[in-house]
Amino acid sequence: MSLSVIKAFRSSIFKKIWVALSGMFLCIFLLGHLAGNSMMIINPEMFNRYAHTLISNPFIYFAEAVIVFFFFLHIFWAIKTNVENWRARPISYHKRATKWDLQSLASATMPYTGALLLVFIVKHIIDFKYGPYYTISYEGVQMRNLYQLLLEYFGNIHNVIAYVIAMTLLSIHVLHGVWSAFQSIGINRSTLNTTFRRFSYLFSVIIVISYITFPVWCYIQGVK
Amino acid sequence: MSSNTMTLYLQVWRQKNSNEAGAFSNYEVANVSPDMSFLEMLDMLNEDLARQGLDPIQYDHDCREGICGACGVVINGEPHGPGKQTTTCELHMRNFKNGDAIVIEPWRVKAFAVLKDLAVDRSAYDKIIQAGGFIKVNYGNAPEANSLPVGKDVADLAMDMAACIGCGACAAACKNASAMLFAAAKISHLALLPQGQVERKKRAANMIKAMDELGFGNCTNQGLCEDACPKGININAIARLNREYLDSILTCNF
Repeated sequence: MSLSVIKAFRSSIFKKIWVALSGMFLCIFLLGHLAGNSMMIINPEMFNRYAHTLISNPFIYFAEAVIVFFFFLHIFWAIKTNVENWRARPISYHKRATKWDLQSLASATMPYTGALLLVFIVKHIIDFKYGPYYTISYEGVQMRNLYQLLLEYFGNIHNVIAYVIAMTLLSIHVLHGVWSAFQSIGINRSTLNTTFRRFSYLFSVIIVISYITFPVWCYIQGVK
Repeated sequence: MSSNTMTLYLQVWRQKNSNEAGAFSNYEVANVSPDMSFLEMLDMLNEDLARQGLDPIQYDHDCREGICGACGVVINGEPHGPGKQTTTCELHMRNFKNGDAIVIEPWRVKAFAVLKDLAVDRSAYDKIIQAGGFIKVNYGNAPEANSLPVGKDVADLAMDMAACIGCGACAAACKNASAMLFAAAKISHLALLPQGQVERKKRAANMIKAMDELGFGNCTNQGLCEDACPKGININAIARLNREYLDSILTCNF
């Protein structure tokens, strides 16, 4: 590979290709995480056993490393892109006509929703992965009782509200992100544009509704 | 003057040259006819300023029929003003009401230095074209029209892309001051037609390299450019540019 090809990987177009590909991976991770989480509603034992299988498998370190790598890629190129973009207009407009449709708003706020989501993710990992360690035993196998932690954590209405806000931000972020990824990797075209737009709305709505179900459901379990 | 003339309150960016800092000045313009173009309104103000011995407002213009790409100012935050698919010269004063306040600013893009007042140096776009937006091979005379190996839909699309007049409104509208729509239109126009195939693989790589070096921002797919484009060029062109670029980088062997 010649030097110019390596240089091209840092070009304005590849920057968004990196953000798009890592974003697509993270969206797939969101769906996987969603599937895993849904087990809490089906059956607490099933959920705990699923979590135990994940945590006790040495493969988890590799999986975690891959996820962290894609997060890093996504954040690194997004920050670099934004810093360069701010520099490309040293004097801003005195007056700016603003578009207030949802897609535009989602697009214009990507750096901010992204930064808030990063804060949420760090807190999310501290609260759950490194949170209180309860144990439970099924048929003599002792494992972490994550289900109990969930009920306890989302028994607090403040945590529920914070989670709902974070998921709303996430849905706004992916509303632009999903369509934008198809555009950035170059597969968008006039005949598919509406389909990709609709798909991105659908994805966004599915994510926000399904993820919000978990804390609300846990909170209701606590009230009962 | 008929009774339906307007009085407008302008706030215009004045800047002596690219080295000095600029500032806004306020002007009141009376007797503006709704049938005037935006530039005719500025001409009227400039005549008034000249009569008073003041420095007239500098702005670019040439054909005044929307085909040359020379004119362009940001009017109330919108490049080329409120009209859809119109250049500043084609914008009529009937889009404004008596007593309106209008903020007029130059394109605010680092790669386009302000030369004076509202006139900016758009040679950065020329440099992008010089990096590859042309064909070098000689195709001879116009061939027999019925023997052209170009489908109607492709010819139409290439024509839509060729409609770009290089006015700079896309970079001016973009929240990142990116020239991606301009590059996309120029690259698409040549990539779609047989004449553009010879340099096709190198074109996108070279033009994007030049664009990045000139200090334009990166595209973040918001689509403000297509709303501002006086020729209605769609951001699907940018997706095509991304494809062309990937092909250029990943498969070009020269």
